[in-house]
Amino acid sequence: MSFSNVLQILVGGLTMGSVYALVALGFHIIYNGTRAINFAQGEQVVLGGVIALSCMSTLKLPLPLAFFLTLIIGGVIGYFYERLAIRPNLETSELSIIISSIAVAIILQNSIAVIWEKDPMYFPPFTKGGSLEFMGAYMLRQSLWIMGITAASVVALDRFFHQTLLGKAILASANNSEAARLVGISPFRMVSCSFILSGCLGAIAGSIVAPLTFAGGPLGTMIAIKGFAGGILGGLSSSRGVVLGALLLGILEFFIATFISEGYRDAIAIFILLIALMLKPEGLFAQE
Amino acid sequence: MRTKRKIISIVVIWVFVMGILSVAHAEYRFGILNATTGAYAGLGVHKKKGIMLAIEKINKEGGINGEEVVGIYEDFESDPSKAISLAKKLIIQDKVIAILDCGSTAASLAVKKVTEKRKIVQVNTTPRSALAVDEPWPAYYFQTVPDNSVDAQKIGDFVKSLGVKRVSIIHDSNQYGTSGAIFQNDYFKKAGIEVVLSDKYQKTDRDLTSILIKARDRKTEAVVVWGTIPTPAVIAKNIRQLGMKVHYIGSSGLGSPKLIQLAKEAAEGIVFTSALAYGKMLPNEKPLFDAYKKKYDKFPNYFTALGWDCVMITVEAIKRVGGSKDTTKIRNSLESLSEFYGVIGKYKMNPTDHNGLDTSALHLVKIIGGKWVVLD
Amino acid sequence: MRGIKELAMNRNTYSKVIDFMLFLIIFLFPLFDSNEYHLDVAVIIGIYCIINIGLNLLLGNTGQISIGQAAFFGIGAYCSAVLTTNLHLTFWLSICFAAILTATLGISVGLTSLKLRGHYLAMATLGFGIIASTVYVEWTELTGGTSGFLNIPAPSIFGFQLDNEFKYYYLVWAFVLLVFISTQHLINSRIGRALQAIHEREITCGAMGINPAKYKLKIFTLSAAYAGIAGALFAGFQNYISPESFSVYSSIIFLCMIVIGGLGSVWGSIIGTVILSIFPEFIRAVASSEFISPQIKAILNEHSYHLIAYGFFVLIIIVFLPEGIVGGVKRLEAKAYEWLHSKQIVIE
Repeated sequence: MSFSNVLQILVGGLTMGSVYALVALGFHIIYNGTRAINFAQGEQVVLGGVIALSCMSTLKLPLPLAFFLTLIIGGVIGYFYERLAIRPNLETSELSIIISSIAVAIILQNSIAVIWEKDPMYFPPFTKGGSLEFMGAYMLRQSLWIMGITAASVVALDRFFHQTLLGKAILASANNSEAARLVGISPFRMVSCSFILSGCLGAIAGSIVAPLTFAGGPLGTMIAIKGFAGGILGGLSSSRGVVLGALLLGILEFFIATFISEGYRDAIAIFILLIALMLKPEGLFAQE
Repeated sequence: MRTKRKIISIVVIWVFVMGILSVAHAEYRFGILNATTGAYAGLGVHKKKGIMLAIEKINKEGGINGEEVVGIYEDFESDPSKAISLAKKLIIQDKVIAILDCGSTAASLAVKKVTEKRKIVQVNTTPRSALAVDEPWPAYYFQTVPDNSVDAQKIGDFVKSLGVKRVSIIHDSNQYGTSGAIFQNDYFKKAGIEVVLSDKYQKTDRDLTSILIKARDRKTEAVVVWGTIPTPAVIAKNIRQLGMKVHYIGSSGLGSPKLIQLAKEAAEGIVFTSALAYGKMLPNEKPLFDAYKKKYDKFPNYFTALGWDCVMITVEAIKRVGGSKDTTKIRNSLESLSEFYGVIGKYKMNPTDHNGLDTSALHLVKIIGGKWVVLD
Repeated sequence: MRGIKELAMNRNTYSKVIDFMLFLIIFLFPLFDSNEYHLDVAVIIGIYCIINIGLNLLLGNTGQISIGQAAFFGIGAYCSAVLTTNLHLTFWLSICFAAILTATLGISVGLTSLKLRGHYLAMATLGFGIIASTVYVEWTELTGGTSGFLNIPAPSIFGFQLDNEFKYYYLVWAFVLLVFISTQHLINSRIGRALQAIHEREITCGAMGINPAKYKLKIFTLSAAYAGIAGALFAGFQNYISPESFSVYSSIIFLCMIVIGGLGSVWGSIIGTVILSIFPEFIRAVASSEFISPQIKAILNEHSYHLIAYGFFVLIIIVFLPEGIVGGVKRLEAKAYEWLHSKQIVIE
């Protein structure tokens, strides 16, 4: 296998890995806030794609505006999702939050199919033009957008959590909600913030991958599982961990598909993940 | 106080007992077992549209002997074991006289046992599994779509005419794609064309460069794709991304206007087999095109046509036995249905062939300038 | 003091009587309703009940989450299918092998995931589910791949074919009764009390000489075996199995069923299974009833709203009864008891 092919695989893997990374970050944020798994994360990504598409085709907005509008709508949906489905269960158990998120995933998935259509829809790439060649590997322009926006989101989130008051408050409340309450932080509000953030992330992920994966269609479950797996591989408790884990998973998948078998791709990737989990139960890149 | 809990359980169990049992019988009831959710939703919705339009048309023209045709729709969520339960429901509870569509190859196989046992005609819109092709046709099992072997032959003949020596086969991992690839491999082996790569993809894959770089390394001259929209559009985009200069030939599963919408410029030059001759509409295709255009203001795709035809041949068979509701009579009539032009083609059914379509039902379509151009 | 003891005793026998009566109703049900479709649904419910009783034991009594229960279900089904169809073993032997195989796999999955908890355990079991469903699809020679496993023979007992819904109903619900009784015994035994203690305070238990790992592993194995048995029953009933029935989605639905029914309660698993399995039938009945105008029916036909309704149904139950239906009833019970108590004090 030539060098250009390896490079080609890396390009593909990093592109998909970036998408998984955004989803995994969503899982990480919710995990920090509630210790639960948000099964609706994948559907929020699909929703982001179709909303961005509607903003562009129905409202005739230019792309940057559509992108920001989608971001805001994603956040609003995240807020209502938390208020209506999660808040009532916050004080019972993580399990009921998980079931709520499953129910919301089912509702979102089927509502998208009814409101838009069941077939995937075309979404124009952010910049026109053919693929870029680099040492024998061909890269779509959209891949650059995906990697760039993912990197920017990761940096922005990191800044947000470590340098702003609100971000620190969310972290503090997640760490020790009793103590946070004592210093005047409302844990409920912080959970709400986490869901808004993860909604925004879903919307970003959805609108940047739609040119590659098309908007809509039955992708939500797959994206959620891959993002979750990537997050677990890296360690859900650290934001750097989930991103690295997700990127690793993306690359791993492409290598398996090329060198071993496309059919067994998911199984082998998951198997490697399980071995990694056995060796390091807290995830590969988790910080103590 | 524990009784409350128990009372709830009793109530729940009694919900069983309540159900609509009695059914009026002044109509022709067709059970439509269709997947509008799950993995096959993308195809199921189009088939359903075809079925609904066909039933609408039949009823507008006075039904069968003045009696209405009623379709009872059930969604089996792309799960064959749910299809088994729902087939029982349609037959036992709704007293249907035929089960149409059956959604996926696996589901039609699953339902087969129920329809055989209860002697109800089953008209499928999916080709038979490669595993079942050597067996004789089950008595109550019919289909409106050409067998995969027919499609493979049409594709193979075309590839041969191109003078291509090295081909790659990329197929969907579902039953349709897998069995298509089996036939395609057989054909190429017989024709002396080398298959350099035969690989599959999953329905949710959106980047197939990992397979295509292998095909590129093995110097493939043509890529044959067996699958249904949208992934073939992804393959087209990836071929363009990698700058590969290959022939792209697809099975009839590609027959949807969606292909051009999704792949845009990358769809240029794709050749695929299609039962519908777009642009050069045949007289038997007109009713569907007109009805579809009127309702949705678009062109129907291949799957709509399949749905439409499964209603049309069943109704035709019933009409030929004087509107009988006897399922055995309907079966016999379907088995001897010949000289009937559906949208897909001319059906020539007989006891050894419950489909009766040959390569003449299929056309070759090439995408030129964003339009479908019929080659033959 | 004597009064309370007596009350507790009475209550125990009382609940046993109720259990008996409910199972009597279940066993008389086919005599009153002979609609084969209803029986078909009831058979599937019975099969799911077996899985969910096991899953509930695992999650409700030891706090271990599993999103891979459908994998054990599927392995049991394929194991039985291969043994009865290809090797022509009797159904009863195949069900034993299915249980042994799934139990063995349960031990190995349980062993590897003993160190894991919470999300990491969820991922491990989910991963197991994904690997299993890939194997069903890829191992075509054995499983038939995506076209499914065809022509599985119906089981027979002493030459008596169990080939229709009516006969199978009794077979499946007899198994449910068996699993019900053994699980109730287990919960009320020493093991059950140890499990409860582990669930509440794992570290303390370790200090007191109860080995949590050992108990957890045992329950993991048992729940896998239950799912395997259910799988064998499923294969014999449907005569056809395909990978779609054992997907991750099924595992998730099983999880919903037990949480909605009530964790840690055997009746909870049964109630949850029944309610979530009947709901689609209910929607179907409403959509086809006379009360709905043809125009609305046409709209309902055009799209698939039933899964949206299903999602809302699950959401509403979990929002209003976060501890499941059994938990909700218990809370009501406690409130009523309190209220009675306060009245009594006033009377005194």
